[in-house]
Amino acid sequence: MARPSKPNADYAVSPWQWIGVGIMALFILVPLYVTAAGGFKSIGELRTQPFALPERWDLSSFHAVLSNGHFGQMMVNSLIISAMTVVLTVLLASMAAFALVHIRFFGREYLAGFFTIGLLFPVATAILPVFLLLRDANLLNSAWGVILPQVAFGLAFAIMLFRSFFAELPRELIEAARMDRCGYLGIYWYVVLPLSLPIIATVGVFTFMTSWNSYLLPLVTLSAENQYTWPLGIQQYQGAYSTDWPKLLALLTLTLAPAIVFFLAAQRYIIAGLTGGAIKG
Amino acid sequence: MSSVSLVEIGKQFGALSVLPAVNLTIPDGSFTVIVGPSGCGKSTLLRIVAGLESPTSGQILIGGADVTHVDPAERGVAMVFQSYALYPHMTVAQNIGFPLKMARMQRAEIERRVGKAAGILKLEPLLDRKPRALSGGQRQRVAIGRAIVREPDVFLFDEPLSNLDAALRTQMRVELAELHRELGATMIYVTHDQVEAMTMADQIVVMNGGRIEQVGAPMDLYNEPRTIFVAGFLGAPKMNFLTGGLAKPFGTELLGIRPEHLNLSDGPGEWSAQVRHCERLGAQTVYYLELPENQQAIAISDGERVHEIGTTVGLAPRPEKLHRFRDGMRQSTA
Repeated sequence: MARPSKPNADYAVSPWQWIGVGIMALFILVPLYVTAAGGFKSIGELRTQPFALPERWDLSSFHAVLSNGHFGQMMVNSLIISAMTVVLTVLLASMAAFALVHIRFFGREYLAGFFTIGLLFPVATAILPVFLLLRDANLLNSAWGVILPQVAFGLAFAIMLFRSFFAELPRELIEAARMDRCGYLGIYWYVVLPLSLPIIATVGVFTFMTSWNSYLLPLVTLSAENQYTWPLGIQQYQGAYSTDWPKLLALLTLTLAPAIVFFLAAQRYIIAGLTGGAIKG
Repeated sequence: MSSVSLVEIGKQFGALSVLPAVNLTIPDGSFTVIVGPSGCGKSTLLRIVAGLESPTSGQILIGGADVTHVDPAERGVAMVFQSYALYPHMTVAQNIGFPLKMARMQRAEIERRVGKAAGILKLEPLLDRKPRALSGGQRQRVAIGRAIVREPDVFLFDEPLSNLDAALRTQMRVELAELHRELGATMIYVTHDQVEAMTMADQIVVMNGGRIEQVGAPMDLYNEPRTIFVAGFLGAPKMNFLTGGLAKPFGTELLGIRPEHLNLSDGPGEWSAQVRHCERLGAQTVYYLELPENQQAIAISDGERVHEIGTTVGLAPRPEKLHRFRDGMRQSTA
């Protein structure tokens, strides 16, 4: 019997897999490339040669976007809202999931089911009641008016991810902590949380991306320009009859950067978080 | 005083009754081994003593005080788990010191106690390592260290050696027994391995199907098992059980004879048997024998004398070492 020549046959990749991955990569990379390259082109060049490299690396669109006084403010607003959403979602979802998995109480299964049903609830249908609620709570036109609903809508998915991860933590570890004088808060803080970095990174990135790219909720909630997040800034370059595509693409390119940086920083953990059972060590 | 008493302890999971009503006293300072096949409720019993599981009925007394509804951390017990349950993100020193940190002890005192425990368990060179950089035996020692630093009245061990290889298991068995002599604390040890029970215990508790079959010193249980289950469970190879016409002349329905109490000879014996198979272990030879009435037996003889497979041998039981059973229980008289 000839043994496979590769050192680890389990991880060998067939040509078909390469082709599949290649096609998927194209779907992601081509729009990114067109967006980034488009920021350097003139509107005429964009129309005639959307996929070619720019004839001239013209920075004027980027310059115009950056020198627009609102750009920096919008980025800061987006960053604050996204960061707060991530922190609150991770904290609340992990605490809820910990209680649902490791504490036995009446109605635990129903409560878990209730949170899961939240996955089926589309934000768009709730937008009017959410608006009325925010109005009555006096949260319109404030960052919290975006953060709180985003956290609420993000919890269902985050709790589900945390629950499946916590359920795989060895039960004896939790029991050992109980024997070692840990209360539930102590177990959560000293044992469960330090072991949950992969899932925290996963939930963090998903939440950050969703919040960073969120358009509808800020559109409804924020009306003062100094509160705008960057997706609302797109409007500035979209007229009723024409769109300033080069500036729009330059803006998109600039706003993509923080999301990509965040993703790269957390990437190592995300793969471990998504492949759940494999990380037991 | 840290004797442990279980009074009418019952445990049900839904409709399933795991422990009907267990009564057991574990003397202060003893090394008590609870042994039984898997699923007999021995681990559940230990977890009830630890406080990780609450009994459906009954009382737990530790040192005379009722701790049935007391939090696990307040019972003065420490537990070593089968999987060691070390915190993967902490170093050995942090693992051992964790219960003290949670008890809000001064840092200097924590370091002193961790150092002392590490000294007892020979862990000093490993204090800065993470658990994943340790071997199985070392992890086991860290888990024991985490129990020692709390200076508990009662140590609980839940099959602590079952993840170790055979050689290490033998070594750890000796170390645990020495540790018990050194600390003098009450230790309750759960295992399914009768060898561990026989070698380490002051007192063995044999459990089967949620019930306690017999409690006593190892050799008492070995020499005078009260039930067929205890007779068959303790000792390797297992006790031989003979029935029907082979047992009748001895005034019983079921005759038990340990393999080492069957003498083999070339001449005639009580029974004649055919050697079906034999295993040479060096010091001893184990014979698998075919007896009349289609019954089987195992006999042990010293390693020198060898009866070939297929030969017929005479078999003679040592009369003072016979065990007679009726209705599953030991008969008091012959």
